[in-house]
Amino acid sequence: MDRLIMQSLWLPGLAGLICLILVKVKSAEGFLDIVRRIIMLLVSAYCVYLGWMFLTAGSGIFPIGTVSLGGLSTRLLFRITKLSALMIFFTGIFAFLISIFSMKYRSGASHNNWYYGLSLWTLASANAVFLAGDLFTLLIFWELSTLFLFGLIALGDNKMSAFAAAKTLVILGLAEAGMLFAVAYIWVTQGTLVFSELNLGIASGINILLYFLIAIAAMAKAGAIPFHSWIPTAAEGAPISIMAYLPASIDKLMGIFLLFMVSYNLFVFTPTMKLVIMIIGVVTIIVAVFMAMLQHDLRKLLSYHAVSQVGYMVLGIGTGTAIGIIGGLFHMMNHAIYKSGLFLCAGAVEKQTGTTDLEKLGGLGKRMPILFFSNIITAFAISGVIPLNGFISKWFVYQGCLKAGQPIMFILAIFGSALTLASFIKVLHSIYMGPLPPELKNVKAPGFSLSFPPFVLALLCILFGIIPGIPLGKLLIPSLTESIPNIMKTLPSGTQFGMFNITVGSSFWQVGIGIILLFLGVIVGWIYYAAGKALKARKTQAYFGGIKPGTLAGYHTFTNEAVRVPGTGFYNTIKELPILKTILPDAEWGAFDPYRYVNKIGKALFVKPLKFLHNGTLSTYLSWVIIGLVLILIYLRMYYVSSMVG
Amino acid sequence: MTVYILDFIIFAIGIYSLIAKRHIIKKIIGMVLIEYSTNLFLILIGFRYGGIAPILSPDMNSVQFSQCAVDPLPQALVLTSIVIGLGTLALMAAYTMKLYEKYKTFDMCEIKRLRG
Amino acid sequence: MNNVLLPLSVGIPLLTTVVILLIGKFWKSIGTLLAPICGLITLIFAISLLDVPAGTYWMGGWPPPFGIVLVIDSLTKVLLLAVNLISFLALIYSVSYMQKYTAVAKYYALFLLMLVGLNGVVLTGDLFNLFVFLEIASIASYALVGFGVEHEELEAGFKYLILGSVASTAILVAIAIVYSLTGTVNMADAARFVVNMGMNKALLFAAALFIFGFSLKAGLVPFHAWLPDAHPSAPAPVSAMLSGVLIKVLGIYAMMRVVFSVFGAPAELLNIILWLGVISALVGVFLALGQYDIKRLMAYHSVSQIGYVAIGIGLGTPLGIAAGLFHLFNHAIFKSLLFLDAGSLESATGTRDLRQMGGLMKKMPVTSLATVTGSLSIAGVPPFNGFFSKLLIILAAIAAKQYFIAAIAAFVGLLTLASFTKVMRFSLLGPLPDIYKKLHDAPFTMLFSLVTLSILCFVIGIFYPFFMDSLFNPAAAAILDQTKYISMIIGG
Repeated sequence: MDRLIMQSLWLPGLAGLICLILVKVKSAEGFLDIVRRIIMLLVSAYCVYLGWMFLTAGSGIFPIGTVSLGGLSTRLLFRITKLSALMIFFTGIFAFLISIFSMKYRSGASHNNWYYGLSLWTLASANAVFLAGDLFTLLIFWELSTLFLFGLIALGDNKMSAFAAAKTLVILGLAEAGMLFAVAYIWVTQGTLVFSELNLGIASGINILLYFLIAIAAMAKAGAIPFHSWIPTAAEGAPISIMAYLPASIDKLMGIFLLFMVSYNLFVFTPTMKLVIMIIGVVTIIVAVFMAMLQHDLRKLLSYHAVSQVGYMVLGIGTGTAIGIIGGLFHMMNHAIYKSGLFLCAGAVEKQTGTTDLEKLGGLGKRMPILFFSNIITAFAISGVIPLNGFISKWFVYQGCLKAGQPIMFILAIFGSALTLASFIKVLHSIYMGPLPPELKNVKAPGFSLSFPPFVLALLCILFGIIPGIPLGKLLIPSLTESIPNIMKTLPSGTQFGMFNITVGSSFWQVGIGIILLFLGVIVGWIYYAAGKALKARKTQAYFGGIKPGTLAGYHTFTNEAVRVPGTGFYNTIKELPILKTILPDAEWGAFDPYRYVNKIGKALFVKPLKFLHNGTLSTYLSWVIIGLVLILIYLRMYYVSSMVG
Repeated sequence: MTVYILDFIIFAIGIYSLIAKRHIIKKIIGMVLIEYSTNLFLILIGFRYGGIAPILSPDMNSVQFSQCAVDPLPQALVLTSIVIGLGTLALMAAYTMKLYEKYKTFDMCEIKRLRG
Repeated sequence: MNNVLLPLSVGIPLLTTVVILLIGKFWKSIGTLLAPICGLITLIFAISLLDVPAGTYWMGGWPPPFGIVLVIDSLTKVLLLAVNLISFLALIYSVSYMQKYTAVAKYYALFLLMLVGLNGVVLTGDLFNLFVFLEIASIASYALVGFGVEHEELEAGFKYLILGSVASTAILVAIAIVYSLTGTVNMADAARFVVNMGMNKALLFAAALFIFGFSLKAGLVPFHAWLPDAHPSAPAPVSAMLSGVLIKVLGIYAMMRVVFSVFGAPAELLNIILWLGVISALVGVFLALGQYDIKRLMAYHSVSQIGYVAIGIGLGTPLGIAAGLFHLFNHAIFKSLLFLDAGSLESATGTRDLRQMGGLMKKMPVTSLATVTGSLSIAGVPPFNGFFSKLLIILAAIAAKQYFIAAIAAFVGLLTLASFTKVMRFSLLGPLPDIYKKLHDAPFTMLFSLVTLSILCFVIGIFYPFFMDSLFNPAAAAILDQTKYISMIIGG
């Protein structure tokens, strides 16, 4: 098993290095690209296998040595728990799908050696984070994964990508600075960093502070408010496949994994702390979903949803109830699946049409049926439509909220879910329905490489929804029973996670009933639709400013065909809501972005005055020097006097 | 003690001139005053009233000598320090000339392109 | 022990300076030829001195405290290595970089003179001798800062000259006071006096003047004002020397010698160093955030990073000092790397304004990678060397129960990261402006230095336990053991 653990690190690491140094030898670029694709494909497939091996092998601890730094030392070790094995398994699956997707998506792009190299290194560092048995390993690889993310976003090669990469690194760096401090503090006070040897289970002030420092790092990586704003910016700049790979899936896995671990394995999780975490979760759900509804760029819209969904995971973990935690972690898995799928759909659309602007898209449903199907499924899954996977995990989170005695949070969470559905109706409408804009006449269906990965993810959404027994009963529940046995014991008696039915105390969910309900719904909808058809609505030509199209010179291009309703204006009324009206004047790219405000305020408070003081006059500088000397003397004098007295 | 105070006054004048005067040459004069007062301070440390030059003549023994001769070491140090001061002064003068060539002014407050 | 390498480390550059000045009149490229060789020789000396035992060399055979004595101990070895390594690489870099300047021979002469001063300051065991070497290095650097003889260079050089002279004078006054009280200028002898008599008011005053003077040379806030002007104005290899080693040797090292070895590190002096460090770390990084001139930005980071070093040293614990020295060494490497990078970018694009650069990753891959390495090192990102020294300083601060200072150190690390992501974002990433379509990467000699320093950043990061154990922990132990220092030089 030692060998396998090391393989999960050095294999992607070495493969990444090989991809990186396979640089352009003029004519051989095409060939090298194929080599890189094959390497990534094979390595990520092998990582899936490794994840499976870890899952089946059972838990264990594997020391790898000690690290000592100036008199402090700690053992370094890797540990396999069922949960970390599960994470590695999923990480591998995402890497594999992304590598298939990238074949077409990145063909012809520049710096593909960096793309594949950094992707593989990300895989290695994510594996290391999941396997880490001590805070030192965790910290190092955590920061490394941020670094690789920075590089990958910078590969986007549009005018936003440099800014996006920088912003990402700074925001995540902020969170990691806190974590670094916390780790250093723990190391000095406890003398070790091994998880199992740490003793932080007392709810003292300093422990709560340390908890929040690490939890913030975790939530920043996952993208909870107020550390979310790197995700929307990154979405504008990064290659979409990277958005699907990191912020949508692996970063969520890492962030929520760490949040779960610090909350339940390292620190004591008091009711007040729970409340804070839950509030963060709910605020994230609501605020981000409002922001998402206003976007008309597919990339930004999806990224705000990626933020909003983090809220459910954080909320679930914050409830502190067994059912809520199951919901949070299950939602993390589901979210990684469907959000990755959504981003990949967007990537395929972008690759085929050259844009992600919803106003310019439309009518693609007939051209790309498979992609349309994948997108519908993933969109419904994120909105929590019965019987897809998103519904079940959200249902757990709701149960958790009620169980934790927070009905208001429960209502808000449901509200957020409804808004998500509303938002995705707009997306589906804008991309796939309505007439095809004339610029997109020549669009073709995406090939295998672009449509297969989202299709697989859509199938997974259905599978996890219809047979929740596989992800829950087989994978998640055993891992949680191992990680947090005490909390899992509090599940009400009679709880069971069968293949097709789930019973938690008095509430239950049966897939069969769900499907029947779904069919009823579809039938009702069909009746409504048929009734609409039967009534034969009057169709007429569109008029523009009172002029019939095609009748006046200058308007001849304005045909009936082109009258499209892009759907981007669906929810503009949100901007008119009284409260939001005041805070949202520049909602589309700025509000709720603490990064911007901190930047502005910090510059005005500290940088500008200091710059002003450096006025270039020698006399000013000389007087500082003299004042500095005088201050030193005064200090020494005071010290001297007090030491004489003492 | 009076001598030390007078020396300190020279030093203070130098500091004043260095900080308050705008003219480069005056600033340099201030700097030189500071250096000279420092050198003087070094000399004063080794000095004793009515002391003789620190040259050991055949007609005195070493105990007698060490009681009445001034301390020779500071004098050696001061020589070095004066030479260093000379080097600095030359460099300052050279800088002043070049600065005047470029900026056409001797006013140090005008020479402030580098700031912020 | 009389290791002849000690005086030779000072003597050979001095001799080469003279030769270059004499022959340089007739044959311009003598400097280009001799200076790197001289740098290599002193580097070899520094490396071969690494495993000699601590000892002294009596100049002219006069035993201390009468004669001048050169001392080598674990701390000296670290500094010697840093100085000669950086100066060798800077000299190699100069070969191509300085081609656009006239009077190249004078440049090399001044450069080597600066090396003389730096090696001398590091090796000497005599206070007045320290002052002399400090002035040699300073005057050479005053001249080198103004080497470009343009508006900015002259202005910066003059300001540096005036402020530096004030500091030198303060140091001289302090030496005079110490002499008047102890009757000696030998550090070990003075230290013996201080140990026997204890500190008194006058000695404290002298210590204050020392700290003031050395802080100014080190560029600690509020004595830093010359630094952001002077460092960017010098030619890139000189900037690398100034930021990389000069401020550390003339400032930090000399301050450590005096405060620890002579005054025995009383808590009040350490507190001053500590708080100067904290203020510098914060103010420097704030000012750096507002810069768009790439070299000025880096110069402000020097202020900030020197603050880090001062924090480590001001803590006064073995861990803190080792951490400070480790950071000092790392900073010497990555800051000189960054300044050399900036020089390459500047000589390629013709501008220092970040906003006018962009997309250079595509045209100058090696320089860009070196810049990324340097940026990540200074920002304290694993696995580069800066991360470990930053972590060590934070650990040391926490171990000394200075939680607030540890938090500030972490915060400054973040702002440094922010500032250098800005550098990378504007200069390396993003679209390439049309005017730079025909750029090439820097010539070989420049790339050699960049690549060597980048590799060092990485290697020191990966193998930090080895470097800590072999260099920095012994150095911290050596500087903390005042008794051993005294007995080593004047024998009990």
